[in-house]
Amino acid sequence: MRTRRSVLVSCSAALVGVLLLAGGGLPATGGPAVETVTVGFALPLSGAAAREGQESLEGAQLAARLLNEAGGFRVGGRVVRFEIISEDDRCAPAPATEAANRLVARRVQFVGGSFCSSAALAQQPIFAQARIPQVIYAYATDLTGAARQRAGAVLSVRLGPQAAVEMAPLAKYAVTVNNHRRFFAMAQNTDFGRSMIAEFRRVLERLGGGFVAEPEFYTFPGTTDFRTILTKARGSGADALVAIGLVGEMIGVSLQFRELGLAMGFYGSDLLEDPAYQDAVGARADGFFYPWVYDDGVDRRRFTRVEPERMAREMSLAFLNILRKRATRNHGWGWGTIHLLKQAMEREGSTEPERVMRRVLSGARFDLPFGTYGFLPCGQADMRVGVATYVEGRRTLLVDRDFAGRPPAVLSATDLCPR
Amino acid sequence: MDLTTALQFAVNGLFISAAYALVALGLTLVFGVLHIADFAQGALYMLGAYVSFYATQRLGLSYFVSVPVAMGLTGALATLNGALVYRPLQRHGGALTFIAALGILLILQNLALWLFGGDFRLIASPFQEGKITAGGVVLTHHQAFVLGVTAVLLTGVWFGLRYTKPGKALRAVAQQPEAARLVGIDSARLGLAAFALAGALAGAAGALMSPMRAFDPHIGAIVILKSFAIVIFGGMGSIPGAIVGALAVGMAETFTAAYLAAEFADLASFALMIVVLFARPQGLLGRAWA
Repeated sequence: MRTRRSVLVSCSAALVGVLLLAGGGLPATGGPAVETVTVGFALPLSGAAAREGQESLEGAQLAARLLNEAGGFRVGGRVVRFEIISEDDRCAPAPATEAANRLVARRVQFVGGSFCSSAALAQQPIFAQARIPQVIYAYATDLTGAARQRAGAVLSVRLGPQAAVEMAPLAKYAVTVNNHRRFFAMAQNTDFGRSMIAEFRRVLERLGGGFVAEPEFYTFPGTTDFRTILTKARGSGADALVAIGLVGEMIGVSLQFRELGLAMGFYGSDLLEDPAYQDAVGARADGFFYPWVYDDGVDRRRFTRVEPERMAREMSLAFLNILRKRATRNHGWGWGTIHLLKQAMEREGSTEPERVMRRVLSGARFDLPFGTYGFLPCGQADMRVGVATYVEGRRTLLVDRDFAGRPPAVLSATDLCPR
Repeated sequence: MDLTTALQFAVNGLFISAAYALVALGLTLVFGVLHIADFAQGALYMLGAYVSFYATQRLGLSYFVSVPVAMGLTGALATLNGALVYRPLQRHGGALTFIAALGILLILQNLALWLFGGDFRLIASPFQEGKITAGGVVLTHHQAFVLGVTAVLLTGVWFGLRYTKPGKALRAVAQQPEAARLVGIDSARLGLAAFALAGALAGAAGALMSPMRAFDPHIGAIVILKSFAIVIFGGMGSIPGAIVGALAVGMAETFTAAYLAAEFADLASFALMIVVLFARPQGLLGRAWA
């Protein structure tokens, strides 16, 4: 027979349970209610792009940790904290689909990722169907174009550049500053590689340049020897080479380019600013050109900085002080996702995913690791990148983010949201 | 395309083939003697690269010392795999060793990811930027070194198997295991020797290639797939088959990329393998199954 005391205990426990379910958390000693927002990250945590994925996740974890340790942030009358969970999409469509389904099953409220275009394209319809907003980092044009429309992924945004944002200033710099007009192109055979090459070609041809041959698309993952493609480039009569691949591939391409003694210009994606690339290639990358996305203010530059890039500095200091290492662009994806959501929630006064994303897509500007900018209706970040090179093994920023928009303008907001 | 370019392609193809041949040789050796598809050798390739990296960068050893050190360690690890994992499982059938091999590959890969991190590494070549240029054809000193060492290792293995007592015993176990046992050959011990040799070859390949190709913990999985296809193509268990297969695949890949397009390189090499396997199911130089 149950005693009166055990009945009281049971009733109290039930009451606490009901309160927890209704309020989403216990009132903190008479303070505001605490709400935990779960953000899932679908990233390549193993495989060819594991390092990039892990750094993105590390950025998100540190951003969330600092916000949570500061007591969270206020949204409406509540205190909000972040919980980060992750799934490995291995940078490929099939495991990416499984990772997306697992995140949906784990009832995440927002998603960050993927870093890889083919993975992000596979995930987009899954998150769209589950009405989970997706903050994408991959560059393939379609993610904020036809694929987004087909998937009905109206809550998805791309945090950083797309292929056109990266390649337009680079192609313009090649033609108008370096007078490189005839290009040999090579890239990994993926949505990322093909998008980047297509956008580079578009601007190159608009400015009177062109490719000397059809682009060479090599197998990804698995290609480590690029000498045959580079030998073709050497005999092609091109002024310069444009090469698009992940960090490991770009190290191989760069070293073998030097080995074979190619005497032509070299252009790559912003992955050339990756610290692992710098460590491996060093001064052998001198004179190679690439778009810069992330600027924490410490590199040499040949222009006066216009934008303060406040969030880049904040992230950079946090990494130096807490993790004792320099933050990278990859850390910026995760860090930026958390801070984009935080700012949108604070302004909207809600954590409800659809309202938060409507705020993101309202055109309002946000402080992010890649500058201060808003988002276009197609979900694309309305941001720009500059062009950089290496001088004596040190990254040197050559032109600022406004370069592509200056006459002759090769990039506008309408280019980023094609109809 | 001019002759210089064609010769450069041939040099490129030869170099790719050398990398394939070292790993394929170890794979075919283990398969020939023990009938085990030892995918874990992909992980040994990766570990060879890391051992060489840490031996040179952290311990300050010469690169030339780091290569035999890598071979010794990967050979020892392969022997341990053989003794502790494959041998107990082998009596239950080939499927179990196949699963175990994949398991070891994944475990070592993840262990490396945890120990060394996901960053790409590159060993500084002792030859630095040195290269031989003949009529526009470029061969770096390091490439020449790799080709030389590969030739020595392949010849050494061939010679050892053909003319030494343990080599003859290994061949006997591979060809007639029952008869070999009857004449007193210790097949278990020789099996472990095959593992050690195969592991050392995989480690050598990793250490030799790592100053030219950035590597991370996943590099072995990429290498092993193509090498295994080469072993099937050349004839499982056939040492000349592994070498000829590596050469055929390396050249097919290179010349397809050179004269057609890079995106067809794998397609061409695998198409070639399929055509050959239709005509000779036992592989190019393999023995027909009973």
